[in-house]
Amino acid sequence: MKCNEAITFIHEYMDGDLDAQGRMDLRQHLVDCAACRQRMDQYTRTTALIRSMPRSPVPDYLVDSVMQALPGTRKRQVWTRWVRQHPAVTAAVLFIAVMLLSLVSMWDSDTRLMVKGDDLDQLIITKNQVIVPAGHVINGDLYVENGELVVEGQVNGNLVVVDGRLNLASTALISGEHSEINKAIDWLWFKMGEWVEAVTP
Amino acid sequence: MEGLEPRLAKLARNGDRDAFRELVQLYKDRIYHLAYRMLGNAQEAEDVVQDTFLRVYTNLDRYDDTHKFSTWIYRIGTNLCIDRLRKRKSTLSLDAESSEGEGIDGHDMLSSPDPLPEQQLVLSETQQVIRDAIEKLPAKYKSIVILRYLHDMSLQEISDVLNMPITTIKTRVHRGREALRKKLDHQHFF
Ligand SMILES: [Zn+2]
Repeated sequence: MKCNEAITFIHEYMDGDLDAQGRMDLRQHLVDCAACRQRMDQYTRTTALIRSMPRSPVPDYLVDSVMQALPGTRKRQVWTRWVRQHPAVTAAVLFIAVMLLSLVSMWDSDTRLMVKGDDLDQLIITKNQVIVPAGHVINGDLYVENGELVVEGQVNGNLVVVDGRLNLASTALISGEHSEINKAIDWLWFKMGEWVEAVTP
Repeated sequence: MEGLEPRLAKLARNGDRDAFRELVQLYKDRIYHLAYRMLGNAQEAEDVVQDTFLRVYTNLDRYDDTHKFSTWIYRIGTNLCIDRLRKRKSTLSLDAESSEGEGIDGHDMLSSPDPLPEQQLVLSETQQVIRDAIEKLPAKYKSIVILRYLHDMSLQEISDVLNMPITTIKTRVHRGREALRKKLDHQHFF
């Protein structure tokens, strides 16, 4: 038997396809041929190693995500089942959804100038401007919506301007942080932060 | 008596979603491992599992329950993996796959474009070498090697899954085995 013939026999042997006569012929060749013995050993080790490959863990959520991706009524059923199983989470999600909806509508409707703060007496407030005059000191935070906040004096607190502009003169002195929020989405985040603070003792 | 899977498939076809869920439970791991090994990353493996079951679901009417359910679902899963490998390949804008038997070693550049490390799994050095060697096999050998040695299928079963003559499967098992041996040998693994 030649080596290339023997190699075919080796493959067939490994596939369980070699008959008795073939196995005997192959054995005889392997006794005589170190190269083919080595090759067979390498095939055996290769396949043993493939078989021993560890399997990566399958994500737990796979069944649910498969079921949810199915078309038709299936999706709704999965959703309602989930709702039944997670009443508390569902309630929380609904609550947030309702809050977001009311916020968005508030955002659209409210365009008047609004000022909030602890120390409003010293401010000059016009139709669309709030001014902290030079030489005056405001103790506390200032919150301005829908207008420009001009700071010429001093503020011992934080400044927040929503949908407006913050104008700091060179004389301005602010001890706290200041931020301008001009996009609805930023404002949402800001409001949510406010609520969280409000509900956190 | 009818087997479990054909029974579940029949129930699912008539709208029993729990029966279908049962089928997902039965096969998700096997399809996931198949896809993970074929494609080499977890995200794509998940996608293939999703797509496979979606196809099974939408084609339940066409499932012929005189055939093994496993053959059918493996065929869908394997074809989805091969499609993905083909797409990767065409995005690399390479020539058509070379004819049978050629280019086993010439396809090294076709290994997954972003081989993610086996994240949740610590592989020994040996296992990494094997993984890379499988990863770099051309698709037609890869699928067969994976079905044969990681899913313990007989040549006949593989022939049914891939819908190819058993002689072709045999030839490819032999060539796949030789390609892997050669790769490991080149890396002085033996
Ligand atoms: Zn020999």
